[in-house]
Amino acid sequence: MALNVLVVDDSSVTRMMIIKTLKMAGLPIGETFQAGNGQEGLDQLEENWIDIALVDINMPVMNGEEMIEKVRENPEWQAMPIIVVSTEGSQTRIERLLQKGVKFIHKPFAAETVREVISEITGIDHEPTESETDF
Amino acid sequence: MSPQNPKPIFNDVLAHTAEQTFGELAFMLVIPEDSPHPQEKTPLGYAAGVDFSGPFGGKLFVGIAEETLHPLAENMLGIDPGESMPEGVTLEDALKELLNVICGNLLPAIAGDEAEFNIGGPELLPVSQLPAEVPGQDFAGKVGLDLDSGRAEVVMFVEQGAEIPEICPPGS
Repeated sequence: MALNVLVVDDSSVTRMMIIKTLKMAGLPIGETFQAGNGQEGLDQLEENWIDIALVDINMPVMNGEEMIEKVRENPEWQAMPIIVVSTEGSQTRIERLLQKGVKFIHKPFAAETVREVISEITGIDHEPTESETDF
Repeated sequence: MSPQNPKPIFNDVLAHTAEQTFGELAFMLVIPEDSPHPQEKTPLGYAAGVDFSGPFGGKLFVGIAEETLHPLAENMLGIDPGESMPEGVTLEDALKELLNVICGNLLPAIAGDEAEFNIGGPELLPVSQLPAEVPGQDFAGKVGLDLDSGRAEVVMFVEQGAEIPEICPPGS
């Protein structure tokens, strides 16, 4: 099963870093979709089949917290796995997000962390990467 | 503020956070001040600023030397030197994201991890020198970092009269 992934972040560099990390992680990644803010993220969800979303918090137009609230209110999307990828340092806000059933990855992130969290949240294990099979 | 209650200056935490971010986000090393091969103090070529609000508001700026921008973006994206940037990505986006990550990690280091801040969108500045002052804000720290590829400066200002929690002791 290949995962269709939505990456929502106002930084094009971060979106690209996340997509590159996903592709290198040995995870079965299908199509990748991008959005620059929460509203664009919701638009992408309307138009495409998405298996998992990686969402930043601080974004213009609609922030990640608002987007997650709207996703959880929609019966079609409410069970969708969401990973927040953010510099957020407030435990209060992180706790609030975790209660909405999301996972959290702190920026800057290591590739292994992204891989582990996606495997954990989807139950899909990664295929060994070239470097792992060298040993 | 009176002399008995001096304005907090956060040079140490600013330096630590910036150094950690350059290292972890862009794999760029900071060269110690006492290095036998100090970097030449080339002028800054690019700068960006970001506003933040929360328990206290303010502004954070980062500037980098012209020769720092390419390695910064290439390292962040894991592309080879000279390789073209992916479609839709500009070199300057790397500087803005660097600033965003420094700011996001700096504020809880100062105010503690219960404080909630909102960080605005980083903006490029049309200047090659970081501002020495910001209207309505107090200077709160400045660091210069010699990197293995050029150099960087980070400057922080906080709103005048802001109550800053003493999680991070003044002077640090």
